[in-house]
Amino acid sequence: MSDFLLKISNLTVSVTRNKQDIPIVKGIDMDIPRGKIVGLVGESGCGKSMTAKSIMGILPRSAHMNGSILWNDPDGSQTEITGLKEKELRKMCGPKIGMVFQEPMTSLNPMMKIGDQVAEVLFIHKLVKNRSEAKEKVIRTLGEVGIPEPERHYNSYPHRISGGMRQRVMIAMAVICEPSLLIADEPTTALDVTIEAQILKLIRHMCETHNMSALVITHNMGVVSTLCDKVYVMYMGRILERAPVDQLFKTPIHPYTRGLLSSIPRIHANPEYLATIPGNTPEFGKETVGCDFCLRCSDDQRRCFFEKPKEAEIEKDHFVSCFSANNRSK
Amino acid sequence: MSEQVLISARNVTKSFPLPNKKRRIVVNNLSLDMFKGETLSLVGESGCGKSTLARLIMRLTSPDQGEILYDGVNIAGLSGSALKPYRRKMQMVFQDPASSLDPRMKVRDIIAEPLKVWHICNNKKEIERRVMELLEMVELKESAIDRYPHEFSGGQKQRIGIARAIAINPELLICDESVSALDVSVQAQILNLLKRLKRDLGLSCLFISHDLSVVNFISDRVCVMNDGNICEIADAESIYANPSHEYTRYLLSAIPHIKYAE
Amino acid sequence: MIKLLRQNKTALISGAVILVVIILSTLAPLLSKYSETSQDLAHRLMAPGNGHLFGTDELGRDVLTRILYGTRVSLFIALLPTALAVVVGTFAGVCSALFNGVIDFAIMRFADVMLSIPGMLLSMVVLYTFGGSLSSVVIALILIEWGGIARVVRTRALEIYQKEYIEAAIITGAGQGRIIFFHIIPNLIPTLIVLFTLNIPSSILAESTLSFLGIGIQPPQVSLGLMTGYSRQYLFQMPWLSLAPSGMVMLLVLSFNFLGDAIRDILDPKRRQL
Repeated sequence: MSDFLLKISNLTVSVTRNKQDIPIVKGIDMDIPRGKIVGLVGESGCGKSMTAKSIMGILPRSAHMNGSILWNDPDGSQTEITGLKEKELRKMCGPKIGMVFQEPMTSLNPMMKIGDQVAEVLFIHKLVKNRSEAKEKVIRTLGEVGIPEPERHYNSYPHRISGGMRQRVMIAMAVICEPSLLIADEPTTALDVTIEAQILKLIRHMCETHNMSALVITHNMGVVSTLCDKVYVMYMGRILERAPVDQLFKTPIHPYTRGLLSSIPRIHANPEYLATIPGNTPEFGKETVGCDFCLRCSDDQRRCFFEKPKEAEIEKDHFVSCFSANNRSK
Repeated sequence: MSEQVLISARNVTKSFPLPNKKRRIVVNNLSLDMFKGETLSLVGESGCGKSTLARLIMRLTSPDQGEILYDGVNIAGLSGSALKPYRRKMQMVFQDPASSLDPRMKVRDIIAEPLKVWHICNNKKEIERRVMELLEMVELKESAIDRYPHEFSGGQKQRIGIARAIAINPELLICDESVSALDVSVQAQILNLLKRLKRDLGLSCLFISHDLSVVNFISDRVCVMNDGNICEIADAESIYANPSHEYTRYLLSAIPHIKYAE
Repeated sequence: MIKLLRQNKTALISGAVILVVIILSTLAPLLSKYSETSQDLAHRLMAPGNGHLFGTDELGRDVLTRILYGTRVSLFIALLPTALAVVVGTFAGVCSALFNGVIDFAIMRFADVMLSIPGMLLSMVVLYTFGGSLSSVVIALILIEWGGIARVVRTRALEIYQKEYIEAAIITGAGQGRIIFFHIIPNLIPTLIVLFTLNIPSSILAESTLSFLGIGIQPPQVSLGLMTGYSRQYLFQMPWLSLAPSGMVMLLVLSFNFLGDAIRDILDPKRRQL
């Protein structure tokens, strides 16, 4: 199994609020293969952002993490990220793992030129010897991410450029150190659809040319379908289904995945009403004995209320945690 | 959908001042008719002027030039007591569920406010009854009445906003990106609710969104905007099957497509 | 919010201290067998002890009793003018925020002018004009404080006015009055509580200074500042005469400051995030 870049095993994250421990991520496994784009899809509150933050070591102070996040470096070494101290974690962020966030406006320093901000990453990790070398590298990377006239835009300030351009700058900052993994947390949610299409294309292009893997976190199924090779579906802190992307959309098995896909309005369909998942996502902290989804599920059996389903391989590489799944497989 | 025109925008222009003393034209000499009983969507990317146009129609702001005709009467220049009767006919559901509800008011008071402003009910009991009725219409539990907005999820907050908007039986409901901030499954519930309410209450609906798939589901007619101008306006089926304007085609091609089994 | 206040130890302690001081000073006549003016010239300038917990002053009056009565006055001076300043400042700030243009400009520049005059100078002008009575001190303090409050209220009111729920109220047909009283003011209350609590210490100190200088509270009334002023001449021989009233001032100022800080922290919206 040495063709994986990152392997998460039984990751749990809980947050302390009002002296109570509230579980957010409840034991997930994930592996990100080399050179592939993995999607982590789920609705708000499912714990996907916390998962990303655990990898980067930027969890809030009130959060506690357990489990294993194993980094399998291209140079052959393996590191257990959860055991790293602050200093060593900082050495990973940038050179090995890059991150792109949702809101480019708040992630960029409004008082610094964008070129200097990208250059800062190089200086922090001591990847260049002097300013001119840094500037050269920055201009090259800005050009690579599709910023027109990179020499001129080096001196621009964030508020003077468009949202799409700012996101490109974020991507430049994330990839300039040539990391092996790019984590993108809702990278296109704040962007218009035409810009979104360009950014998705850019991410795929960067991954292919730099042999980078990516973990894309999103609630948008369209993004997953366009960009990802492999998908994990998350609900209330657990992975309900995982599969190669084509399989997930062709034969979604878990009732939650099916519900999610049928609630998306489609261009060439004209139903009277959209098919919806009844009820609401329960709040944090309400732990149930049985399956987290059973109260809203249309395929529930008696068993679902008392036992948590274990993951089973229904088709090749297609894993589902659901008691009713066996009835679904073709 | 009737042939009667409810709202007309005639040569409406709106601009905003820029720091360098120039002005940015957000709505550019735009004309548009909206029919009674239809759901008309304004679609476009950020900055195209769709939200501004909605706010002009709602008279939250006034146009620099042009007329806004409600049932034939020009309301563009009206204010104060002359405008007030029209306020009753148009209501809005906002984009951000969190900031569109006063955080210091209970749900009861939020929904009852329009009833109180327009003196619709005679006493507390009647107000309570009407608020309960509205909560039921938006599929919220009765117990919601004594709680505060922050105790609810995004979708539930949006339901409260909808209840407030329909409380005084408006003729026109404007939904400004009302589902954009919601999760997919919640979005579907709210879209269904809006469709159902529109049918049951006989509302006309102006729906603003950047999401073409959502717009396709809910609209009778679709108006595509770009840079303050209308690119194309046609019934929903035609726009998607045969987009005639280049920009419409560009928008449609950009949607990340889901490769379903079909 | 009261729940959260109870959990914050600083707030609890400072709140308790303030409460105790208020109770003690209100019950002053019951607690002390002396009155604040009863002189006992045979026992002047006595050290603490012998029935006088804090000793006696230059006219033989019991210092502790005078502190209790003095605290009453100082608290009254602190709470009433500050409250009135908050009312005036809120009115000015809300008007400024809602009526843009000339009115906004006028109110804000007037506030700026008032803020730029040194507080003591302003008070002295008022007190020389109207005489050194309790009401003059109150008026002087209101004049000093309303400007700063108006500015903060204006900023916050403008913020609130931009919110979508205000737009929703406008669309509903609500008039300006309804919007101000039912939406803007209720949402201003957290800010006002903080402003009130944090301005009290300055009022206490201002009154103390004025009375210390002799232009504030006049005898036979007693205030903490007055006591500190009169005891200046005995500072080295009989330090308790100054330490006692100054200590009380410090206690009150610190308590209100801590309480105000705690309230501000609790009301900070960022705290509500996970």
